[in-house]
Amino acid sequence: MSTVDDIAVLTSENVRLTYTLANLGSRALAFLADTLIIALIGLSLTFIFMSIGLSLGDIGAMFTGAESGAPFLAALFIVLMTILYWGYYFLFEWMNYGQTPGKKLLGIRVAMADGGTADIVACAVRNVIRLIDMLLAVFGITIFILIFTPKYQRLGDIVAGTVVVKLRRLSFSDVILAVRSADRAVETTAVENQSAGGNFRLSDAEMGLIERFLTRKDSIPEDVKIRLTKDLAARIRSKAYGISVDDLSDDELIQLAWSRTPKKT
Amino acid sequence: MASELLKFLESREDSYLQLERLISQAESGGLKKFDRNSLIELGRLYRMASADLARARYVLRSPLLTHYLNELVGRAHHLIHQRRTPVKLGLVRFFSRDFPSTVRREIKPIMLALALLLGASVLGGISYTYDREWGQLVMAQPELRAYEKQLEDNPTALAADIDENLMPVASAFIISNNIRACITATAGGLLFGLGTLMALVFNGFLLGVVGSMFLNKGPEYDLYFWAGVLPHGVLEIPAIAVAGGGGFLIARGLLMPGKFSRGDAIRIEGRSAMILLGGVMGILVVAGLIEGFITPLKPGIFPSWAKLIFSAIILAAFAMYIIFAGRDDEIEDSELVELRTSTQIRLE
Repeated sequence: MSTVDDIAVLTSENVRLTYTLANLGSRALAFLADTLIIALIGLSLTFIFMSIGLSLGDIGAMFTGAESGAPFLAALFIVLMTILYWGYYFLFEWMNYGQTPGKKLLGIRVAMADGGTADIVACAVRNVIRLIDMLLAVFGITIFILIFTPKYQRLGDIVAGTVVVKLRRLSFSDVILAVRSADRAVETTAVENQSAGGNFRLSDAEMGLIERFLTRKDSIPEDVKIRLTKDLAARIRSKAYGISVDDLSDDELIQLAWSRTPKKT
Repeated sequence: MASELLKFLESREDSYLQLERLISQAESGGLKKFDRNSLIELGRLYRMASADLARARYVLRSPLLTHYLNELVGRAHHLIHQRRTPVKLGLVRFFSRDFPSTVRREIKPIMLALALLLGASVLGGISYTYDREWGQLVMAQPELRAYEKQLEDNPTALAADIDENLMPVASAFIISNNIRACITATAGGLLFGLGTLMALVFNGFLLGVVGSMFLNKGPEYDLYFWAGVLPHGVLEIPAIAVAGGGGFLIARGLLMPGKFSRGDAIRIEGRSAMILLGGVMGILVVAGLIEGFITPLKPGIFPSWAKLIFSAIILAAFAMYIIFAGRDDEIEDSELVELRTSTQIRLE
């Protein structure tokens, strides 16, 4: 079930792994979230250090009260702000498997072009080049580049050899629950008796449709279910080979297709 | 009725959950803490999940299971095939080997950047001496006049003359400022090298203008001036040159990819540029500490001639470091080597 937004790699075990590229919307929202977080941290740092300065008498005391060690506090403030400004994206992406807090919120992560975790140099490159991307964003060029590169890369990604992909984590219990509920939807009626020979030739997309339909059958409104059943059955019916499906109702047809694993087209 | 898929899932439940546990454990604590048995177990389960992924995709044809295993195998794959060096060891290796050897390898663009920086500063000095209005090229007029006036009133109140209380603040501020300048110089390489060129020429010209302000005051201030800029300058100037050299590397990848494809060339040069920039950060911290704490020391504590000797020692030590560090152990960034060889193989 690969779409145009997928990238696929072969592992050394010769198994195909696929990754779905993050769409522009989630990237923009993640950027917005990160910008907000940076601003919030910056403001709170300023607030904290200003209160300390005020508690020493006045803000000026930050710089002159040498005996209290205050100038070192002011220096610490500058150091922290510098790290925040230049290091936020770099440190998070490097230490946190390609995720800044904003990216985590939107369920996306930075990866090498082969889907692997972005290493320290790649994280540094994409975030140094961020400077150029921000500069060009003023003229709208960055968004243009992002849209027209095949892997939705900004300049920083191109130089670093990174992509931003969706993190689509699914738990095992979700999978088995879904499959159980799909199985429950399939009753052992006429279907089992039809099992002599023949098969369906369905595409990956059609298999996916059947699985998704059966998984969610119980949770969709009745009228929608009737419509979907009709559409899906119409699609499957013509793909039967060496099997008599004319007497089967739409429901039974779908169940039959699920109960045996159809051939690939 | 249990489908083939459900039977399969039930038979695999324990294995997958065990694999998930091992992966989470490795992701948070690293593979280092794994004992022999867990490592063997991880490998076994990983291979099994890999095979199952292919099976889920092509035989069982379940998008759900494919999706699940794809993520699981992906995570395990990164863990097993990653090259992660512990941060501490990586830092030592970086400064003792990777950075100096990259500087040696890419000395040409770095020298070009140094020449541009120094050339622009000489030009700035001459232009300003010839006509003060040239100073406006790098400084707003009011700022320029205020600077000149301050110097007129008290020629010894040099920029490097920092109040003792302000030393830590000044140091932090200087480091932060220089980091910005150097990142700009490197990133500017992507604008066909023009950003780098501008950063170098601007900083050089500024240096020349400010320098000649002091030097035009008369020879009796010369020693004081050099003692006020050299202790940190001998590190800051090379640092900006190295960062500029990194910018030119990126520009080279973009404009003259040579036998590589443009994309590969820019990735290869980008990695080298980042190693240079990383080293520059280290140098800037040292230079900033010197500029904030040592350069401003009063002549009574640290006489000007001693500062000059100090500068010479720092410069010599820096040169020795760049020339000799990591000489017998020239191993490149592993990712870079792989990138180079893989493109090489593709080409042949």
